Amino acid sequence: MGLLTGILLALLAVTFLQGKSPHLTAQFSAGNPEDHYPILGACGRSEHLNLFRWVPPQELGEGEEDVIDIWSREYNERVNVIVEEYRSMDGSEIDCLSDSLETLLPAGRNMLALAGQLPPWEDPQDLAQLSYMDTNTVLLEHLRMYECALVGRYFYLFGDVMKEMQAIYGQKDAILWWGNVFREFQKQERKIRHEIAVSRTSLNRVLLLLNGYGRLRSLEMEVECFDRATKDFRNALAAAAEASACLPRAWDAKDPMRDLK
Amino acid sequence: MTMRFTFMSIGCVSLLLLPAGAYALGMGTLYDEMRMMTEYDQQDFVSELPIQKFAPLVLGDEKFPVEEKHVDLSLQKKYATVCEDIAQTVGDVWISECQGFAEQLSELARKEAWIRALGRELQLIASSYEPEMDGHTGRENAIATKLPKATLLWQSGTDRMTNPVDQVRMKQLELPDTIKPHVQSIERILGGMVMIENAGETQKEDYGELVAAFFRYRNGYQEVQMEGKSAAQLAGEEDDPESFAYSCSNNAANPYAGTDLQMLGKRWCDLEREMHNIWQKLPREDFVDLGPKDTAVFPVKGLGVPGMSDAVLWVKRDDVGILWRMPLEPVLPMLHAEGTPVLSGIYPEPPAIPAPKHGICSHPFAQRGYLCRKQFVEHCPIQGEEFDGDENAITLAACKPYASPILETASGPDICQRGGWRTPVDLEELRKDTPAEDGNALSPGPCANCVVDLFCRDISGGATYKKTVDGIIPIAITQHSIMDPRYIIIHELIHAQQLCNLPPETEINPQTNRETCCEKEYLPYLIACKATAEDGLLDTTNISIEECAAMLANDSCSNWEYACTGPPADEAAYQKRMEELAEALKDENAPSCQDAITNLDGRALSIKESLRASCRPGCEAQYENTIGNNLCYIGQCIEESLEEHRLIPGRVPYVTQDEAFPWDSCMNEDPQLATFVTVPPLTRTFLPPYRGQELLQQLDTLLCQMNGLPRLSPPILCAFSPGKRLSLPLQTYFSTALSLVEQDKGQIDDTANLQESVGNIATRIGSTLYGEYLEKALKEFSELLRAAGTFGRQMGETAFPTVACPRNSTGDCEIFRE
Repeated sequence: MGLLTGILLALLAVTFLQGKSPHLTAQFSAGNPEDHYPILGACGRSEHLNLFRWVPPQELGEGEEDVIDIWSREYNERVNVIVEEYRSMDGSEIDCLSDSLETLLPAGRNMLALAGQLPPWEDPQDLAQLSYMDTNTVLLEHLRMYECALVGRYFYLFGDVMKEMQAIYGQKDAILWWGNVFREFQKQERKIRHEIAVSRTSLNRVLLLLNGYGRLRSLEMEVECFDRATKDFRNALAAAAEASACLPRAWDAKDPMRDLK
Repeated sequence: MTMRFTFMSIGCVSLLLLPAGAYALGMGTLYDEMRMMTEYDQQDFVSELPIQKFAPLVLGDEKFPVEEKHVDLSLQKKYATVCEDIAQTVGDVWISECQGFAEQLSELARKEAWIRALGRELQLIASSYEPEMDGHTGRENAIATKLPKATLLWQSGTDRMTNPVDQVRMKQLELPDTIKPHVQSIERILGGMVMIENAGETQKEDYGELVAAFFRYRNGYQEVQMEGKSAAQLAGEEDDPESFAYSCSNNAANPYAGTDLQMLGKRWCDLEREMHNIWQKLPREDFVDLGPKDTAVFPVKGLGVPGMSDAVLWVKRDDVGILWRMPLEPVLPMLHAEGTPVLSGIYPEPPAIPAPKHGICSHPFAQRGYLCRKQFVEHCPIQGEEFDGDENAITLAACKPYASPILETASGPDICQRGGWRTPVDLEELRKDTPAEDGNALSPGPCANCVVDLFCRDISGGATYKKTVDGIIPIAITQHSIMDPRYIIIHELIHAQQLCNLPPETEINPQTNRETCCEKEYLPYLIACKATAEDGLLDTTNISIEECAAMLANDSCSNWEYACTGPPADEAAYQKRMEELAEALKDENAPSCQDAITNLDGRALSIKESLRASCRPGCEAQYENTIGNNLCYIGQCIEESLEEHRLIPGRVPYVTQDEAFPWDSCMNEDPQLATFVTVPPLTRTFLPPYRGQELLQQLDTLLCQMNGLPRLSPPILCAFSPGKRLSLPLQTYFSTALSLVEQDKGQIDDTANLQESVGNIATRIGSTLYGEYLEKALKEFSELLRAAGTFGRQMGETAFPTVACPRNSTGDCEIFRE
């Protein structure tokens, strides 16, 4: 019976592998429960400060980067890094034994770092629930923070610009004219308007493409897992086939085996 | 007749306004590019190079000789500078007239830019949907590559032969080093397509031609070469580098020549020639084990092309092409050519609307869509008088399955017994069979219950005779049949498989009754028809493999009318399809009967090899390592063990598995493994119903509800009725009038909001339909796996006795229960 046991063991191995194979029913990247995000509330005065910090006037200089330039540069850098991180996820990290699609591919390191600074995921428990599928949501929330920061700056622009100019000119011990303030005010107002006009459209376009590529990603990951399970299954069955080649040894045995008591 | 609009090129033109320098592709990461593209959309100071060249050609004349640099100046509202420039050329001009002209120039550039921006927006939408779905070679697409590969790993050889779906196998090979100079030439040619100019006093680049070339050759240069050729012309040109007559002329047969769409039909012969050189250097010796339709793919090669970070060259057995993996630019309409503007608006006549009862898939455009792919149903599509569906329904295509014959099996091992799943171990032995009658020169040997003796005889159709006492099954093959000898051999070998394990002198006599006849004939024809389809003989028809098998089985079972299909709705149409099939199966290059037997087709060899038993001691079996083939081997071994031998020791009884030893009764009760596991029926997937009318009615309801009315059709009836306010006026005429305006405006706003949401609602409806479809498509497979899992687990839980059967024991079964 040893050979039958061999076959059965092989089948058992196959069964084990099959039992751990990914879901084969159609599923969608449903994301996390609704009550977590996105929280599309009104802008607060300070919630964006984690990312779009208040820059002390002493750090600014005439003719150098202003606050909008700094925010814009940092915002674009972060988006760039996360978009590239999302694109570079090739599925090699997927965990085919995971119980759900959400945990099949973990969230990117940079995305998690950003999400941790956004209001909806400040709580580590909420942050822990993010997966790579939430990249779009995090980017959109990041954009909302950026827009809030820009709008907040816009509301108090004249006063803030005046304070900053006073500090800059104070450092140089130079005379500040109203004309300088108005010019700086107009320059920054134009930049704010430009950023508000461009940022959302740009991100929407990127998300349009990423979503297109990501739309079938869940299915692709399942295909990848299916491919791996198929190979395991094939190899296990090949072992079972090898074992079954011994079956003729058990054919037509005419006597009880080896019990000569 | 072509429709012609002399409208100035709005339908074909464009511009993307650039702040400075030039709009260039591939300038950074994806986000950088999108942001840059958006910034160009938002600003309007600099025109694109094609617009800068186009606008002066359209508006410039003797009175206002416009130069390219004036386009950007007009966009920047520097009208005075433009007019000063013009005045220097033509003398004095009226400033108001000139300013009006400059405004016109600026307006034209803006409109063209708007159209181009719209084209790009559409391209982004297409790029977000298509790359994952289109399955172009060179695309990183797990579904297009890994799923077919996994499918092949699941399949057994018999599945492949009996599955009525025309499958393509893929082999991956390495590219030879000798192609390197040609790849470099391709990079040089593509790089030369980027137009760089300084005419407008700003350096600008135009990538239009480069993008067009990538779109043109995304399906391969041979695809372009074969445009407009008939199937007959293409026959024989596909795989043989000697006979593939390559020719190219830069403007040959461009159906769009002279129009704004000319880039869509343009050919770049130098580029094609280099691709052709690469194709000629492919290692053809590695293709020998591939069928006519099987393909070989080579790793893609990244191309160093300015402005495109993800351009690749792909190579397949039958073609070479270039691909832009994430296309961000469309092929924009041509604005100028050789110093003259190209006006738009010349389009071919739209294709005719499908006739009633012909299905949407009869439309030439729809025909190319996924939903209209070839259906693997016996009789499909049915059109005209045969169509008996609801004329008011939206019908893609109507099909009619035939009643499938019931499979009858005799006692004995029969898993994987129809078709071939093994590869020959001893080719020499298999080829001992000559085209003459070999008789007793052949012997089944210890590993088989039969051996076939193929020979040529001038009879009508093939014939498989009864098995002799020596185990020889004589098979007569003829040259005169609807199929050529290669397929007749396959057909008759399946008949031999039906006979092989039966006692000698058993005869296949299908003409006893209708059901038996269909059962005996359908499967052999199915396998033969599948072989013809694999060899491309059915390509010129829309006859499916199953329909081919059913019609040929009808022909063989001619004692009954339409024995295997049932009487057709339209006999004349059936006869016509039968003639079409006979025509398709005619192969002028078919081998003679002698040749076909001497050089047996690989599939026939596999079937012949599969006649042998699998598990007999000392007999070798060889097969491709797939899940299906392993199961075939295990299954045959188990069947041969349980059905022909006894595994519980004892005296050999008269009947297999008869009780021959007292310990037999000590066997545990049947554990009833998998009693409650049912293998799901294999049913066809279907598209979930799309109830467009119902969805529209729901939208109507929403529109009406917003205005507090019941559903009315058309929904315009639910719009604001001024009568209400007029019959209930406010205190003053002014407030009444204001109320009228505001109510109307409020409703318009609500309606606009709803209309904006319609896209989102439609997306969700589409996703739901997609989900329903996938659930159905995958459910059976997942149930099958679950059933296999349950069965395997139950087998694994079987408890074996720890003691062997004793020779002399007076005890009872208790000794086995310890």
